[in-house]
Amino acid sequence: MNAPGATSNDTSLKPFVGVWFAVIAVNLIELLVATKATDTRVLFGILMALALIAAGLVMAFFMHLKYERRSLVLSLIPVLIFVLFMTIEMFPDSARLHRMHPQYQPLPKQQPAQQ
Amino acid sequence: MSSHQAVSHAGDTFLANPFATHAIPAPYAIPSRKFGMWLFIISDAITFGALLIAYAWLRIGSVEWPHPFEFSTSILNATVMTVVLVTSSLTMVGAITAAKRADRSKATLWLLGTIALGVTFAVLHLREWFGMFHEGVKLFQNPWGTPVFGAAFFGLTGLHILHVTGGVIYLLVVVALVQGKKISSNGVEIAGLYWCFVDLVWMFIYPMVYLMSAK
Repeated sequence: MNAPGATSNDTSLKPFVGVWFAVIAVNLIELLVATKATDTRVLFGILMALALIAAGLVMAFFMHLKYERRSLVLSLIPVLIFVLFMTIEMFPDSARLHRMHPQYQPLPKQQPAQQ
Repeated sequence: MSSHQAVSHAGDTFLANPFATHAIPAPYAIPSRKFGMWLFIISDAITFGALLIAYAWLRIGSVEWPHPFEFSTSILNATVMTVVLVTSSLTMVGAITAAKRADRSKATLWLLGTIALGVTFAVLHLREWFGMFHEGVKLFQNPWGTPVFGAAFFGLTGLHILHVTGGVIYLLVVVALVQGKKISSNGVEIAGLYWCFVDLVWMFIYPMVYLMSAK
């Protein structure tokens, strides 16, 4: 983060080319992971973690947030995270819905040994 | 303060408000228009966030979510779209750096490159859509038996393509303003904020919609 009030006045494009390669690399890793992983929830977790890295790079460099005042970042990002967290709060319902489906077949439980 | 007095502020130069009785410092040391764009982006991010969470909720909660995207066609097409959109963000940064150097001709070229890449992205996306129409996918009907798939897919990608189209029109206006010397470097940077946000949203749509439903 630069000094307060500083903007990205650097007129060189070189650092951004490096970021471009990094974002493309993250997306290619996502593609590779998608061809290997089998469990939906594990795949979802890995892909979203990688997507957050790519989005962070885009926001920090291409959207110049890295060069803005820290107070701007601290005002915008926690609010966004809080609102999205409040939405995600209902997410466990998706797993419950999955188990309520008529076609859902739970794994057979092992009976405890008779004494 | 005279109405024609120039005020230098956060790397930009603009005319003072002739109706202002005293100078009010801009919050966060950035021009108010840029701050306004950031607030718009945050509100738009919440909209997209809610849609993405709803899509993920349906994807995880459905027993038989369709996997219609073949690697050789749809996934490859979506990967090319990703490269095109990320490259358009880089060309947009090129336009901003050229604008900061007051090089209007180069800024125009970079902007036209960004517009061309945006149009390419939209064309590739529409090709994907028409391919799905051909397979019988509609808003509430598809051959795979999960009716909500069409609504979720077209709702999410449709809102994104609407933003891309809006961005292309916005950038065309910016090109005209750059040519007419009616926009500052900060104006170009504000347009860049919007365009890169469209790219940022795709970073989530690509893995969630395409990679998680690959055949």
